[in-house]
Amino acid sequence: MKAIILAGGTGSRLRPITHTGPKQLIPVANKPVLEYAIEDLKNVEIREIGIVLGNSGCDEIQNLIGNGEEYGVDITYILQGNPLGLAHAVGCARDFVDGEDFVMYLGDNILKTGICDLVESFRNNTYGAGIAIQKVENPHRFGIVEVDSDGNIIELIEKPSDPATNLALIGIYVFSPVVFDAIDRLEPSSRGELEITDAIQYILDDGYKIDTHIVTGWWKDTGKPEDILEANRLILDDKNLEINGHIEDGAETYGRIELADSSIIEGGAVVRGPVSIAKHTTIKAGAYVGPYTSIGPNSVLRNTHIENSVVIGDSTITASGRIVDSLIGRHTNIKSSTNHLPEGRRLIVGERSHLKL
Amino acid sequence: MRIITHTCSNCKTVIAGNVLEAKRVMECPGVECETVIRFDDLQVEDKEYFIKNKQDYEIN
Ligand SMILES: [Zn+2]
Repeated sequence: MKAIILAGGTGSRLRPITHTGPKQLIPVANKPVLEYAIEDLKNVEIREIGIVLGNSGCDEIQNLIGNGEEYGVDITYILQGNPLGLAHAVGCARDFVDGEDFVMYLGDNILKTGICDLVESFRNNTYGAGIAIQKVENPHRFGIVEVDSDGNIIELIEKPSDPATNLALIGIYVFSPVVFDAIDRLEPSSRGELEITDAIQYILDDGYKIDTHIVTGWWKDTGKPEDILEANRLILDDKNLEINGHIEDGAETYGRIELADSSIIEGGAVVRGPVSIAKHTTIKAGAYVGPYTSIGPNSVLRNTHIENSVVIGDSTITASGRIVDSLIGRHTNIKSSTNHLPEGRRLIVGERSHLKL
Repeated sequence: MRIITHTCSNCKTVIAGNVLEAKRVMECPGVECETVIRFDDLQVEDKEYFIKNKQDYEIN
């Protein structure tokens, strides 16, 4: 079995963070979202992975993942270019898949429970496709499945205006090569895309069985800043956090903390977990790092109070105020404006930033 | 709609028709691959189909 990870998309809802890199590389608990997908695939013994790239972020993804050697996997890149739909992405992977069954994993998704159950069930039976579904509160935003009383799928509908159920397709699928016969027959939908829900409907109509797997643990599509913060909270709750760095005398630490070996919590600083602090970062006197915060590498925090936030890295934060529920991009400098006249906030803010002051 | 791709003979990187058409000539984007890939490398039939249905491969 092989896998493809879809890593295209513009990341428009995560601007300005995504002006300088793809959404799949935004770190959650100090690990890029895309690496969670690779890990899940490795856990089901899949080593041959195709990464489907869009029009932007290709270099950044290739620079990080390379040929996959560092992750113990073998990566092939598939340049989809224009975002012509999930089924187009799958269709572009046909040569790579080369007649095998394969997992399709949306590269901005994170699942608590991994994909073992779905993949094992598919491996042990004869299905045309396997889909992961979950009950959602806003089904009109998703591909929705309608099932009969025995749980068999009757119909799949992409983003229905009047959803018949709240069972949404989440970003993990398993396909047998029959999916390519279905994709061959697709025409662009009203939004100009080849829809994967249409392809699965064809597989169903062709008489193949579809395996449905209800995901009970949490699942996050990290498309928006609040999703990144929530995924960060969920991962920090579950992750085994280790202290490998140095905690100076006079520092106060509570709860579970991950501290990279080259990082320091200095005397006079307070860190209350769950918190993750990446490499070469120093939490200096007067700083308070509160629960559900991840501080990226090469950063310095002093005098500031921060909680429930993600600092991506290479940043200096010394403002004395409280920073909460924030996603802070790389190479950011947040200083105090105290003693600067005239009194007021001084901002150099990128295009499409969001500030609540 | 036909999905048109070209696979690099050296590193197996796959490139969709719309990428090839936009660049015409490109160095293979595969990691450490320097193979030159052209829109003209597509099969004649695929190339003609792509040009005829170009609007299907553009972003709305
Ligand atoms: Zn190549």
